[in-house]
Amino acid sequence: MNAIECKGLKKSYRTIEALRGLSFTVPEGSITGLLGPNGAGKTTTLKIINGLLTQYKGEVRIFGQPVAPSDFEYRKKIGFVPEEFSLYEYMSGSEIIAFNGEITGKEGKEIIKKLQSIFNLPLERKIATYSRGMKKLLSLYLALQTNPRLIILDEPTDGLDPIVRSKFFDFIIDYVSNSGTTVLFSSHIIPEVERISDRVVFIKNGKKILEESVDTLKENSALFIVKRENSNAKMPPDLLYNEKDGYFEIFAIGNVKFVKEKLLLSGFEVVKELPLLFEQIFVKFMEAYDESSA
Amino acid sequence: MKAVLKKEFKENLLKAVIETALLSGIAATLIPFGYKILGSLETQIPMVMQKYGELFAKLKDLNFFIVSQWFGKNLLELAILFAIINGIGIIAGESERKTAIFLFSKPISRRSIYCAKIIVATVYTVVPIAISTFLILLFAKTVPQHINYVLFLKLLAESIFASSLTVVLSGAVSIVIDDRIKGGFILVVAIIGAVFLSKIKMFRFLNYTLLFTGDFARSITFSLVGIALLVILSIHLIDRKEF
Repeated sequence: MNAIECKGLKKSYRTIEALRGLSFTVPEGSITGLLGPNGAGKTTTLKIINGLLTQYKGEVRIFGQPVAPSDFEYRKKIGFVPEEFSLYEYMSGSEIIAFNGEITGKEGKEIIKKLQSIFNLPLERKIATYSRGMKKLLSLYLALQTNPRLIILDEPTDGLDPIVRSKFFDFIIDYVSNSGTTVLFSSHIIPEVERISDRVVFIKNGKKILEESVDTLKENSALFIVKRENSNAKMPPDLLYNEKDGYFEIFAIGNVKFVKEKLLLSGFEVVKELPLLFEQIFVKFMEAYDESSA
Repeated sequence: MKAVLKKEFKENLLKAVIETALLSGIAATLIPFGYKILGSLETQIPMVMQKYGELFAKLKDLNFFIVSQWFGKNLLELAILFAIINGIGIIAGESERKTAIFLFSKPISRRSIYCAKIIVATVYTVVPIAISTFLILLFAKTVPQHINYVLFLKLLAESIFASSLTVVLSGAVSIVIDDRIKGGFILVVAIIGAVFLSKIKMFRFLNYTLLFTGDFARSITFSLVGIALLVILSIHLIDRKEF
């Protein structure tokens, strides 16, 4: 079953089209990274799923059930860490946890205790005295307090120092592997996504441009250094390349076999086939999308 | 809803205490002082008494004084102001502080959140009105005059219902405009504009102040119908609101 199923999501802010028919799925038990440049529509998508945006077209299903903007019961299954948010600053950490427990009907003492053993937040202090990173961590506490089946994280490590960030991801990986919880998260930090995701959805200009497992994407992506086998060899018109001193650099993103065959058939000899970093795959894929949409 | 009610009561308590203290302070100081000064005019200025005897006879009438000075002036102005202050922040306050994303992504209906907030804002507007008006009653006990309790209670009821209407009206504005200062300013300008416009005969119904000190049955009916319609409108708006 899919934990999330989005079909044809369209959303506009006045004259700006934020989502243009976005469709993707998040299988239950997976960790899916939602990736895209600024303004791609990531936060808008996550807000729609969490019921914060109401004026949109398309369909959202959570664990198979279609959800309408007025529905709220389904949110019992979701733990959400938003990108931009604030907590009631006059409350202490403990008070907001108690308040969240009352609203959701789940105290979540065990998970809070577990989180405290790792992050040790000063829960007795007023939230007003917390740093940005501490607030982000507290929002993770609140998201996990209800033992949700689905965790949605929007730029979760924004404001966290590298040590806490590392602990954060270790915890998420450990938590998910023990509980089978589904995670959908967005991040600008590509190595972060690569580290914890098993699937990725690339979006740009409000459209999905790729939905693939991280391993498959890495296996099927490479940088080819090729040269002409004979002087008549012509580069296939649909391949993007850089030429230098008679050698051609060609990025194959998600279609390594296809590109290789095409190159060989066109009279090129593959000199080197280099694996790509996930970050390179993302950047090159986005560039290729720009070129093709232009 | 219970949790949100609890939170709202706690969050707005200080504001309500300040408003109660202000209104009660005015009730306990200005009213006795004003009554004494105005009442003494009768004996101090006999010529004026001769000319305006009929009117001046009312100055020593405690009931006349309470109606004109307390319900018609001090309470009227402050009740509208406090109702706007309490109502204008119910949703706009959450949007401004960016806590709306936290609250409205929880498994609780938007209607429940709205209802809890509007209930607390109304209670915290009505309580200062009731306490301060009760102080006037205490003062009235010190004056050897008969008090028209029926009139007194009618005016208190009018003030309470009209203030509640103002809270609900402010709440509706709060859903639409995410900025408390801007929303409050627009609402105040609209109310003042309506009162000015009501000087024209055909727009007399726009006189907002008549809700507080007008015809009892009409004021209460208008307030209740207004509250009901505005609550329905607000629920519609909050269901469509984007955060």
